[in-house]
Amino acid sequence: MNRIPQAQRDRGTKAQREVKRKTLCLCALVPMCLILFFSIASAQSVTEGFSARKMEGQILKWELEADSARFEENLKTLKGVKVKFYPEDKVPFTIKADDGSVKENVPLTNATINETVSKKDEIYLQNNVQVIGYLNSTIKCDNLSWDSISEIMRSQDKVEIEAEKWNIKGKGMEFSPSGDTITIKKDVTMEIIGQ
Amino acid sequence: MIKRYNLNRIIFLIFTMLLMLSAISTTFAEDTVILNEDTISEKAVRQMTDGRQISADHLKWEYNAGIAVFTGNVIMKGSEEGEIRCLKMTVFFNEEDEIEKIVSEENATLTRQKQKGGAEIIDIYSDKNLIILKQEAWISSNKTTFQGDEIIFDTKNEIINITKGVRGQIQTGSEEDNKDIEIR
Repeated sequence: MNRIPQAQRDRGTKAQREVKRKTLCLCALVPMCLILFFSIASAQSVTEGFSARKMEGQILKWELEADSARFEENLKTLKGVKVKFYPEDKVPFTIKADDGSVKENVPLTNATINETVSKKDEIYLQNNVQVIGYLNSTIKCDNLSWDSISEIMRSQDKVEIEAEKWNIKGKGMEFSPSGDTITIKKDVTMEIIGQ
Repeated sequence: MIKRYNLNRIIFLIFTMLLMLSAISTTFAEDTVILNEDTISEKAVRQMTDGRQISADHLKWEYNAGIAVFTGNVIMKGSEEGEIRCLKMTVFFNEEDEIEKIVSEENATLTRQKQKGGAEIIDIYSDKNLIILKQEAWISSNKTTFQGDEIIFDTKNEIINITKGVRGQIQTGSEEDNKDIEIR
């Protein structure tokens, strides 16, 4: 009979217990560290009271304010957004939205080598979007996008434009902040009050 | 026992008072709602009666130029001129956002209470109470139909002035008895 001495057996069980304890500790520590790391990382990326502005030389193009912002590489996710546009030779107007995002330096997919601009900025706004003061009216929609290349505001969904003497309802809209032309893509109804 | 009886009475009284108070407040609240409804309906009525409604598939509005171009299945309702249907309608606004002129093109038709008309182009000058039907224009009223290159319709005085190549049709009795009139 091959008998293991008692002392050797005790040492074996002790070592096993030690391994077990260390494994358990490791199992508990790793998730804790991960949670701690991500919580710190996310806490660092969320900022209360965010603001940004875009200048072209000495000219202020737009300025943006948000109640909070989350930063991820070149994307800023915003809450409680307010953007003020300063079109050239025109009255400035404000856009408000519950949520939004700003993408900076987005590479142009179809940019040619000769083109000086190969990157663009994008602003996307959604939920309770209101454009106040553009063409003496208030535009209400659920989403609005803009990019620095086309400089055109676009909305795909239902749109309502209210002014003192008229209001327009429709689906899909395009307008240029620096221009004065509004296009409604579908199902337009315009009411001209008192005329 | 008496105390408990009194307590019950007090509770009953409080309950009744609360009930009365809620009834009074509900009545007043209803009044307020009615007043608000009146205000809203006043605006709605103003829009429905005085307002012009234009529906279309597409709109391009050059605001500073005061030109709104409606295209595709254009219908204009709620105006003094009547109902206009066409494929393209251009509305010209002045600086006060008031309509100066409306040009309806492509299969333009006009439907009024007493008249019906159509032309390639229908111009409306609402401030002058004038409707001008141009190119292959026609207008019918009761049993008469007139055609011409240009029909000028004074909506205020109900006067129709037809110029250039006027042709008319008067239905005197049955449809077989129709008389064609040609004025040169």
